[in-house]
Amino acid sequence: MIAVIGLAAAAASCNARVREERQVWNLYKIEAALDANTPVAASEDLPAGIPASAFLTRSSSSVTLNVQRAFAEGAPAAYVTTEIWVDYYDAVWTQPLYVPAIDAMTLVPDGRRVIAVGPDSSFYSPFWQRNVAVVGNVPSDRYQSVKKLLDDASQVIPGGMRTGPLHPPDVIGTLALPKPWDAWNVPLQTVPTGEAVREDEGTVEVFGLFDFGPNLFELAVEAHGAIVEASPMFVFAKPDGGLNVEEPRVLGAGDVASDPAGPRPRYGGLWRLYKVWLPGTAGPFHGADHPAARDASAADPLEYEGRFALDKACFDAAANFPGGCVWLDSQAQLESVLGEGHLEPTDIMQTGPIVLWQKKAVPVNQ
Amino acid sequence: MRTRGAIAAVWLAGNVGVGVGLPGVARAADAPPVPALTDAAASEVAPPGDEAAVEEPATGASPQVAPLVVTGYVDVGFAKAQGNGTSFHPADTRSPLDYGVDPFAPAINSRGEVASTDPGTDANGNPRFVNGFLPRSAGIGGTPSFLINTANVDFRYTAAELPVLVFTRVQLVPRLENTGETTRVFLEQAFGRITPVKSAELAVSIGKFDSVFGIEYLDNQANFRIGITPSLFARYTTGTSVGAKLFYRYQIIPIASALSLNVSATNSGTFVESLQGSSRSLTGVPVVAARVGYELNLARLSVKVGASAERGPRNDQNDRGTMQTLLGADLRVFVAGLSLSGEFVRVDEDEGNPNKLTGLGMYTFTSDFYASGFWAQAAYELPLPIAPFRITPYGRYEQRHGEFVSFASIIVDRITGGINIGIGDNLIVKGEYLINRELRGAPTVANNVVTSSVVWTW
Repeated sequence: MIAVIGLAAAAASCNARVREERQVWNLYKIEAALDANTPVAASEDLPAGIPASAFLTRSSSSVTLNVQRAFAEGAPAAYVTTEIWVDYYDAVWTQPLYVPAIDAMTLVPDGRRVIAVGPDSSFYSPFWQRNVAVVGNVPSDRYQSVKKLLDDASQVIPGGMRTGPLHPPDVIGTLALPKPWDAWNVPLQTVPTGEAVREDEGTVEVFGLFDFGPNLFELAVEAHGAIVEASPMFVFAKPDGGLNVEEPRVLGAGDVASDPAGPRPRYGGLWRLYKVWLPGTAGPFHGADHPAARDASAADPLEYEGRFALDKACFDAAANFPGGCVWLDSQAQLESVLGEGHLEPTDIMQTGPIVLWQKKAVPVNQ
Repeated sequence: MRTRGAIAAVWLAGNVGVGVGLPGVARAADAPPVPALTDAAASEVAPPGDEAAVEEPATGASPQVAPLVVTGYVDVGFAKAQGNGTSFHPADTRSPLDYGVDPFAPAINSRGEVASTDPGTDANGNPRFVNGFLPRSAGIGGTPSFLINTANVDFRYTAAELPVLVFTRVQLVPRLENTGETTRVFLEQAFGRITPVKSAELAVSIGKFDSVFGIEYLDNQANFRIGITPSLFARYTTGTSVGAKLFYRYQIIPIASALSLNVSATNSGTFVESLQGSSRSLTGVPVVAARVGYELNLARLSVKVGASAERGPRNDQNDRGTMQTLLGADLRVFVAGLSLSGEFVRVDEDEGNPNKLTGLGMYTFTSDFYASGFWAQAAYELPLPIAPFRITPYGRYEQRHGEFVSFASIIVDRITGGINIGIGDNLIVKGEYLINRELRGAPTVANNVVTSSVVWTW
C-alpha cells in the first residue's frame, strides 16, 4: 500500500500542473477593472489585455459604453462591447428570463424580469430566452426567484430570444460615435434598459438590463445541448503577431435587413475574434499620415480612416485613392485576398451589437 | 436466532455474538448459496487472528474445499416515476439544466439509475443544455416498466498457499436505448487482497474495489440493501475505483469494542462512475480516502460510529491542483431488531479545467461545487413466527443542499418508505415509494417514484 502510494506520488511529481483559466468579463467586471485601472481579457492571445477604458468611459455621474469603429461589408460600422469570454471554447449558452403576466395577453405592470443566473456566474449570459409566466394580478415585486415563479405559474409562454447584457446601475445606454467619426453627427439610439431580479439563497439581487432586442444571434445544436453561434470578427495582427486592438476591426458577414428606420443586422450578438495575419505591405489608412490622398479623395476620407489596405503604398498615389487600393474591409475580401489560411481563430469571444452601419444608426431593440 | 446469515450477523456483532438481524442480506451461513460479498464487509467480519475468516468469512468454507466460488444475484425491478421521469421542469431553460435541479432524485433501483435523464427541448425545439451532473438512466421515463436492474456474477478465488483472495464482480445491465437493445457489461470490482500478518486483522487490496468512505457502500448491492434506492449522497461516497487499499482493525475485547481504519488511494475517489470515471487517472495524482471507526458490541446492542475524509484531484479533468474534499460522519445502532443508521456528508469541489470527462462522456466545464446533507434510516424486522418469511418495514429521510457556486443553490429532500420481505435464502422482495421535494432553488416537479425489486440470490 505504502509502496503504491509512494510510486503514485513519485509519478505525480514528474509532471507539472496543467491549468486552463477561463474568464467571462461582463459590465460589472469591466467597470471594476476601469475603476482599478487594470486591463481586461489578458490571455495567451492578448498577453497585455485591453484597457477597460476601451470599453467604458466614466464621467462624473455615470459610465457610458464606448462605441468602437469597424468595417462591415466594405462600409463603416460600429459596435459596443459588453462581454468578453476567454477560453470558453464554443460554450456560451442562453439563459431564461421570465416576465410575470396577469394573463396570456397582459403583463404585470412594472413587473421585473426574473432571472436565475447573475453576472458572478461562469454561466452568465446576456443571451436570454424570454418567457411569459402567467401568475395572475400580483404586485410587481412579488417574484424574485425563478423557483417561486415557476411553482406559481399557471402557464409559461415561450417568447423569443433577446440580447440583454446585465449592467451596474451607473452604466447608462447613451451612445455616441467616437473620433473621428463623430464628425458625421449621426445620432445613435440610446440602448433601452430595465431591471432584472434574482434571488440567491434568500438574498435578492437587482441588476440593470440593457435590451439590444431580438434576432442578434442563432443557436447551434451540439452534443449536449444548444449553444449560441458566434460570427467571426477579424482583428488585424501587428508585425510582432499580437492583436492590433487599437485599429478598427472587420465584422463578419451576416444578414442585414433594411427599412426607413435604418439597417437592421440580424447578427452581431456574439463574435469570435479571428487574428488576421497580414503581409508586410499591408497597413491602415490614416489621413493625418497621408494628407494628399485624404484631400484628393472624392469620397469621404473618414470612411477610410483605419481601413486596412493590402498594399499601403496605394496611400501614396493620391490620384488613385481610394479606388487604387485593395481594401481588407469585409469577410469576403479577407477570404479571397488573403485566404483562409491567414485567418486564425482565437480563444476570445465577445458580444458586439452593431449600432452603426453604412453611416446610419442601427435601430436598437426594434 | 441466526436467520440472516454469517455476513450480517458477524458484521453486526463483531466477536461478541450479538444476534441482530439485517434485513436484505441473504442467508449463507452453512450452505450454498453464497451471498455476494462486499470486500469491505468481508474485511470487517474477520475476527482477529483468524486468517481463514479474513479470506473467506462469508461461507466459512476452507480453501481446500472450494478455492473458486461463483455466486451472484439477479435483481428484477418494476418501477414507475411521475412526470417524464426526470427532475427537469418543462419551462426551465437554465444552462446547464442539470446544475439547477437534482437529476439523481428519481432513482428507481439499487444502482442509482433514474427513470430518465433526457433534458428534452426548449420551446424552440433546441435541446436543453446539460453539463454532466447526471446519473445513469434506465430510460423508462414516466412509463412503468419491468427491468433487469442487474444480473451480477461474483468470482472469488482463495489461494491455497498464500493468504490471498482474488475477487471479481461482473454485472450485466440490459437496457433498451433509443439506438436499440444494449447490454452494458460493468466490472464493478476486480481486486486481489492479501492478509500478510496472521496475528493481525490487516488486509491490503489492490485493484478495483469498494469505497472506504462512510457506510452506504456496504449496501451497494441489491441483495445487501434493506431498501431499493440509494440515498441522495450515494453519488459521492459509493463509487468503486482502482488503486490500493488497506484495512486494519484492532479489537479491544475487554470492553467489547474495536477500532478500525480503512484507507485507500485510487484514481477517482468515491464518486460514482457516471460522475468520475475510475479506470484511469486524468491527473496522475491519486485520491486518498479514509474512514476511522469505533464499534461497541454488546449482547443486545451494537453501536458503530465512523468518520471519513477524502481529498485529491478531481478525476473528471486534468488539473492536479483542482481538488475535491469530502468529509463524513456515520452512525449505526442495532438493538432488538431495530436498525438505525445515518450519515452526514459534505462535499467541496474546486472549479477545474474544461473538457469535463465523466463515465457518461465528455462535457464542457468542470465547476466549483459544494454539497452537504444527511440521511437517516430506520428498519425494523417484525418479530413474526412466520419462517421462512422475514418482514422488515423501513423508512428513510434525507436532505441535500447542493450548490454550483454562483449558478444555483438548491435544497431538496426525500422521504422513502418501503417494505422488505425475505423468503428463505434465495429471495428478497422489496417495494418502495420515494417522495422527492424541491425545497429551495429548484422548481417543483412531479418526480416521485414507486419501485419494486425482486432479488434472486444464487
